[in-house]
Amino acid sequence: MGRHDLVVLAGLLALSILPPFLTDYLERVITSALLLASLALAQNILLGYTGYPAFGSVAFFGVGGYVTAVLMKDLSLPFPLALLCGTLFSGLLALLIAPPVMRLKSHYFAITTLALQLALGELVANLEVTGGAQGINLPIYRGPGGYLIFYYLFWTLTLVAFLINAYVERSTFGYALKAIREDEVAAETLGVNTLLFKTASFTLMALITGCSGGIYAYWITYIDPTSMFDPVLSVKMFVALLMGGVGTVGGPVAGAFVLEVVSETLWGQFPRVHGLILGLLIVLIVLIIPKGIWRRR
Amino acid sequence: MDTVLQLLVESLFLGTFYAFMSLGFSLTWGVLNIINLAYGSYIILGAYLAYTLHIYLGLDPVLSLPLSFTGGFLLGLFFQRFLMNRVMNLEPFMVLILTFGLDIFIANALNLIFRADIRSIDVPYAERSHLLGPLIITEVKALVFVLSLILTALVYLLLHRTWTGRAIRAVALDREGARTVGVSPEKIFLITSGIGTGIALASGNLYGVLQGFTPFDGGMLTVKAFLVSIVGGLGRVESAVAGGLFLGVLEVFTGFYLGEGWKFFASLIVMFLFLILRPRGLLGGKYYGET
Repeated sequence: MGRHDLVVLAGLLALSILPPFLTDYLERVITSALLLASLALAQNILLGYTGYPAFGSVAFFGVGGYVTAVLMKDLSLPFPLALLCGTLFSGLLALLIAPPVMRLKSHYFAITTLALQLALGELVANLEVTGGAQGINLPIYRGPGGYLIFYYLFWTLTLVAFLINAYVERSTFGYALKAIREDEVAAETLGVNTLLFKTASFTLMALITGCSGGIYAYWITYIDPTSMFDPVLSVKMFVALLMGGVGTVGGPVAGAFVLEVVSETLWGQFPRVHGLILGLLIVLIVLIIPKGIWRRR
Repeated sequence: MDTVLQLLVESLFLGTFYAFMSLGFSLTWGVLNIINLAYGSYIILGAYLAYTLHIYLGLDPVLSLPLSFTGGFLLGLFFQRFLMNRVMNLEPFMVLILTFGLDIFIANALNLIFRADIRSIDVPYAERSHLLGPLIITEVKALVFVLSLILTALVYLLLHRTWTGRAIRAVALDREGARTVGVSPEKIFLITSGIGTGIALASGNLYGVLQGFTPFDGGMLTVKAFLVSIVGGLGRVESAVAGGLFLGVLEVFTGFYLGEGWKFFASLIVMFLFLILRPRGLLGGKYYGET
């Protein structure tokens, strides 16, 4: 980890003692930023270290959220158990589809995952068990701590994802991923089992993304296909990643916080044109800083 | 039997429209290797242009087709010159993000001007239909079918019978090779982007006649253009026709036998399977974007 990454880690740790000083509004903004950070960190394992852009990674956000919600509502499972199932189910799905999907390169890989995301969104919109297009109402959390619990859940997830990224950065596992990113054929020639490592990277991404979706579902208490499989969320995550710096440990977190603060400030001021500004912001960021605010290794 | 015949005719009508609608998407992908996620919003832009011209000038959307094409052509030149040229050397997924931002921008700009209400272009022949033996032929659908057929044929002639068309195909096959025989790829990129966007806006006229639309329908149309390009293959008229007819049959039959709700899901699953099993499509070959 470089100096920048340690600053981000310190900031992240400081967030754990911040809640007593926060207004409800700020608490919500930071929770959203942490959510975005967890997604960006998950994608970073795949895009940043392995070089595969999963444009539709939000598919696993939706799957994690829906599995958690359905288990809580239909089987009355307690939240921790439901969340665990949602997370594992996302990982399992990723494990199954990774081998065929990860034979594709670059934008073909990107759009295949996007097709998967939209297809799953349409599937849950048509199934009865998922409440169709109307979506699902979850029980409201009334335990100790109130909504602060979600702040800490997302905080924990982000911290775990951060540590996984830090591990990938310096471990043999990570070196194998980076070898695939730089030159897949060469990595294969040198004896790296590329399929195994690509599948592991994809599954890791899906586990974190799915867990994030599960927490989100309980936090927001009402989910529908449009909000859980939203391509806008994918793009926001990518923009956060690009702003922070792809392939760095701290970058995704920094990018997520900057983007969330910027869009919240604009949101509050010009609610009528926020979509317009978001679109413009995305275009400008790709044009101005295609390599991220910081650096790229 | 009559039902199946009726469904087949509907598939043919819709599929031919999809073929024309997707030509621009397929062409810019095949020639420039740019996947334009804002493509559906271009189509919707065309629909609103035709709607505005119809409301204020009383211009029939069929008559405003050349206007839409010209407007789209200029818009395509503009976007290529000031946006796409800057990102063509970056990783392809950056272009996906850029064009998605553009899509959000256009959809929200339209929403700001026209609001989110469903609009439709009320042409006098909107409700007319005729009995042809056992078949019911809606005048609007037949009109869109014939126009799509003519326009698709025109694009085919452009690509195969003119110097510019041959140059476009040459650049699609081999950029450096084209340069050595005196074709400037940069110029061809501009022209192709213009033609592609022109096709998108022009097909918006037809889409507006065919059904109601809102500013946020672009995403769905992009996915359709996607499916047509992937099933058929990139950059060729014959590929777009094959893909378009495939999508037409798929949508009409799943819509009728499984219910409207499953139509989009079926398209997406087929697209997913094609991408995994045969990413080059049915008639795909060796164009630049297909490597």
